[in-house]
Amino acid sequence: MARPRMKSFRSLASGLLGAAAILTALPSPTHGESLTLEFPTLGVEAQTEAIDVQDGQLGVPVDPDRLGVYQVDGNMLIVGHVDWAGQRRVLADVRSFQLGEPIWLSDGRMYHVAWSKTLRVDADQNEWSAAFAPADDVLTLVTCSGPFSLSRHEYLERTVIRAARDD
Amino acid sequence: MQAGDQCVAQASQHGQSAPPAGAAAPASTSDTSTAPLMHASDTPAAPSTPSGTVVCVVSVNDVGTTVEQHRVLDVTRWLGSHPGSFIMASGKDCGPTFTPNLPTTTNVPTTTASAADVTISAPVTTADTTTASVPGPLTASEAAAPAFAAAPVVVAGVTVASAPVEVAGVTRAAAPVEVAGVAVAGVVLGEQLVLASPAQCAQASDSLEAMTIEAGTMGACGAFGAAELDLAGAFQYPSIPPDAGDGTTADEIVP
Repeated sequence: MARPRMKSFRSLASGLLGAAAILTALPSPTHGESLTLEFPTLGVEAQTEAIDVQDGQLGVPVDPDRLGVYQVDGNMLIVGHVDWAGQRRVLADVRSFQLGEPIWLSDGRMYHVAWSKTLRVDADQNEWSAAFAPADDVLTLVTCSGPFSLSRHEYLERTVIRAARDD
Repeated sequence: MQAGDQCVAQASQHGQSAPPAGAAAPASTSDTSTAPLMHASDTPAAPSTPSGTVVCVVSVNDVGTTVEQHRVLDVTRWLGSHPGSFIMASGKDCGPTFTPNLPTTTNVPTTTASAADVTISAPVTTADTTTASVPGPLTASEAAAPAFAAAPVVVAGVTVASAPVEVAGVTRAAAPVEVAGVAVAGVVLGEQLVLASPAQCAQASDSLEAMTIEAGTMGACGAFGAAELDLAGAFQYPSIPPDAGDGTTADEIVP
C-alpha cells in the first residue's frame, strides 16, 4: 500500500540534506539491501525493506506486503504484517508454522524453524529483549496475533518464530 | 423657530432689497415694504376684508426659494417690479412656502430635498453642511469611496499574504505542490517531524491516526517514524514488539 507521506518526506529529506547525506545516514547494506524471503510450505515469498527502532520499538515495513528487516548481531529480525486495510498480509499464515519448516533467502541462505512462541505485547520486556538479542546466524520472525484491542488499536499478542541456519 | 417668524424675516429682507416702485405712493397700504404680512390663515382673522389682490411673492436666495402671500393694490405695477411673483389663484394658496435649492452637482433624490426641508431656517453655511451630509449620490460616493477602495486592497492583501500561512498551519495540507519556498518547506518538515514522534506513536493512538492519514490506521506508525527518523544512524536494540497489523482481519476483537 502506498503511503504518500513517506514519499514526500523522502523527497523533502533529499532536498534538505542532499543525496550524499542520505546515503551516509541510511542503514548499512547488511540489512538495507533488499532480499527475498520464501516460505515454500506456505507458497509465500516477499521482498524485504529496512526497518528501524524508535525508543526501543521495532518498526514495521512501510509496504505491508513486504517484510521489514532489522539486523542485530547475528539475529536478523524480520517483521511482517498479519493484516492491513482489510487484507491478510504476508505473514498472516506464518503463525501456523511448524518446527522444521524451511525459510529461504534469495542470497542462498536457508533456515528452518527452530521454535515459535506467543508473547503478549505487554509481556515482560526481558522476554522481548531476549527474542531480539544477538545470536548466531538466526532469523527471528515477528508478527501480530491474538485478539485485537479496539481501545489500544493493536493486537495484544505477537508470534515469535526463531529459525536457525541450515548447515 | 416658528414658521411665522421665518416668513417675517423673509419679507423684511425682501422689502429692503427690492423696494417697490410704489413706495412714493401716498397711501401707506400701497407700500408693500410696510404692508402687514398676511398668510392665508391670517385672512379670516382680519377684522375686515382687506383691499387689494393677493399675490405670491417669490424670492430666491442661496438657501432656496421662498414664496409668501402679499396683498397689493396695484398688481400690474407690483408684478412688474417682482419678476417671478404671481397672483395667487382663487381658492388656492401659494404652495410651499419654501423650496430649498437642490445641489447643482449631484442628483439628490426627492427624499433628500424633503430631508433638507427640515433645515430651512438654518443659515447658508449650515444648510450647505446639511446638504453635504445628505446621502446624495455624489456626497455618498465621496465618503464611501475610501472604504470601498480600501476593502478590495485589504482583502486582497490578506488573501495573498496570509492564505498560504493559514493553509499550511491549519490544514496540514501544506500545499507542497504550489509552493517551493522556504516557509512551506519548513512547515512540511516540521509537520513530519512532529507527527513521526515515536512518543506519540507509542502513547497516543489518536496521534498515530493523525500521522497516517492516508493509510488510515496506526499500524504504519512504527514504520513511518522508525524508518525515516533514524537517519542519524543511531543503532538501538529493540525491546518493544512491532505493531504489524490493523485488526481488519482479526478473529477476535476486544474492547
